Amino acid sequence: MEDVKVMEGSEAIASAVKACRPHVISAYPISPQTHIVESLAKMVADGDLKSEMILVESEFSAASVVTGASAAGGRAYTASSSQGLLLMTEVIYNAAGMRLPFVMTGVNRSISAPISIQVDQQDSVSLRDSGIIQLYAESSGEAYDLHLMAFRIAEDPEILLPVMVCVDGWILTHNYEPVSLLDPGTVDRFLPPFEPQQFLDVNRPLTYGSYAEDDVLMEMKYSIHDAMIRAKARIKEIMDEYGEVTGRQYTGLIESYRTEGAEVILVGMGSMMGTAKAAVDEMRKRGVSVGLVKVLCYRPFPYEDIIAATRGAKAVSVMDMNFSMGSEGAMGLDLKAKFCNLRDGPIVLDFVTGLAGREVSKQTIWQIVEKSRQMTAEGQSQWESDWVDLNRQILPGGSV
Amino acid sequence: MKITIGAVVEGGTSVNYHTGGWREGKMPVIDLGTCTQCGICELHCPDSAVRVEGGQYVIDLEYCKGCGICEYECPAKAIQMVDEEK
Repeated sequence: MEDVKVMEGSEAIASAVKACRPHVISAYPISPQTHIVESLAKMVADGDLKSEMILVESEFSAASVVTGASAAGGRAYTASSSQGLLLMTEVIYNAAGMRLPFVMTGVNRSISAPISIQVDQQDSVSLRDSGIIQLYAESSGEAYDLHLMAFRIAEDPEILLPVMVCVDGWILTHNYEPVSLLDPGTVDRFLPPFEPQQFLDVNRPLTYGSYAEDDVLMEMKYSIHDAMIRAKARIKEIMDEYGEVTGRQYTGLIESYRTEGAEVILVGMGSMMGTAKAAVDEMRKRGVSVGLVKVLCYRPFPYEDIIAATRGAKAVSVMDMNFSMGSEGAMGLDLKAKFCNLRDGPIVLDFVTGLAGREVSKQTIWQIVEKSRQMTAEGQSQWESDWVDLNRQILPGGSV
Repeated sequence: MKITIGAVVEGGTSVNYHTGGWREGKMPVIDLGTCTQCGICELHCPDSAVRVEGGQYVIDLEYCKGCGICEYECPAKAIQMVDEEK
């Protein structure tokens, strides 16, 4: 049974979290994440959700609370954005290292300085190396589904890692659109209660966060990476199972859109993929050979799937809503690293776009595709990321 | 030895790490004549290196890292950090 309602994206996410019945929720306000935890706090206050709601004094504590709750064997949830995610960083590395499967929402927002409350993905992408699994939603409905799947993925005995569902701030969290909610019975069929294999118990003391030296630390780190790599197949299976139980089909860690025979294939993640699909449709109508790969799971990185989906293309054009200062956009780097050793592979081009909410319109996407076609036609490759629509006129003197 | 998921092991394993070897230069010495047995040093020691043995406060140099917090906190001024040659 489905219940379609027009609701704010934040409310859809809160509804998904409620359906998963976490034992513990920790919350600290930061825009644009606030409506999610406000909504959950109301559910708890109204007696509609029996979770321990812990209001903390910083994001460091919010992350520490879910880490502790998870170590004690509970299902735990929190959310944050921007500077809040950065403040959680130290704790998230620890939680991943201790293999604690909490779920959080990373509501994407730009990082200071300069301060902005608008969307980009610099915050969550900055956590890419920590060991937290990262899923990215295109729409509110997808955000709802991914949160339900996130708990299954995190708690899977083969995986046991924290999962962050990333949603673009404002564009998804504050937008009203129809969302199809599942009834509690369906959610319960998909998501059984969490049964931890090990947890803190006063009668059976354990050490979490133990000290390790050079004789084992490399192996410990490798085992986190290994769990991530093994998670790729499990995430696909869990998505398939979600499809069986709910009738909602997810194609796996990526979604290919009109990639058949495409010369240029755009790769990106988050809400701008919706606009990109509309742009691809228009361009296809005009005979431009273009397709798109949406990355739903950024860590672990599904490079095998992307390589398979872009076979035969001349250019893979990455849209990065983030940048690694002194280098390139993060996903551009991920793909260049994997494509550079392919024989006769496409060229990989990186386009930095949409920072701090600068609009990624259909026109922006046309422009990226046109530039990609021109570069492939002229046999050019790319030495560094292309900052789309960068206004060099206003740069201070001396800039390159 | 096999590593465990999340490096989770049984409780109390820090006893196996004799971190007193990290101490450099100075070590704490308790003047038992001046010590009032208030226990403040034991409370403040970040390495649990202060213990009571036979009714007297002693410092376990196998775990003391030589931070000097006990000397700073001792209200009776019974603890002194003294030069140590290893």
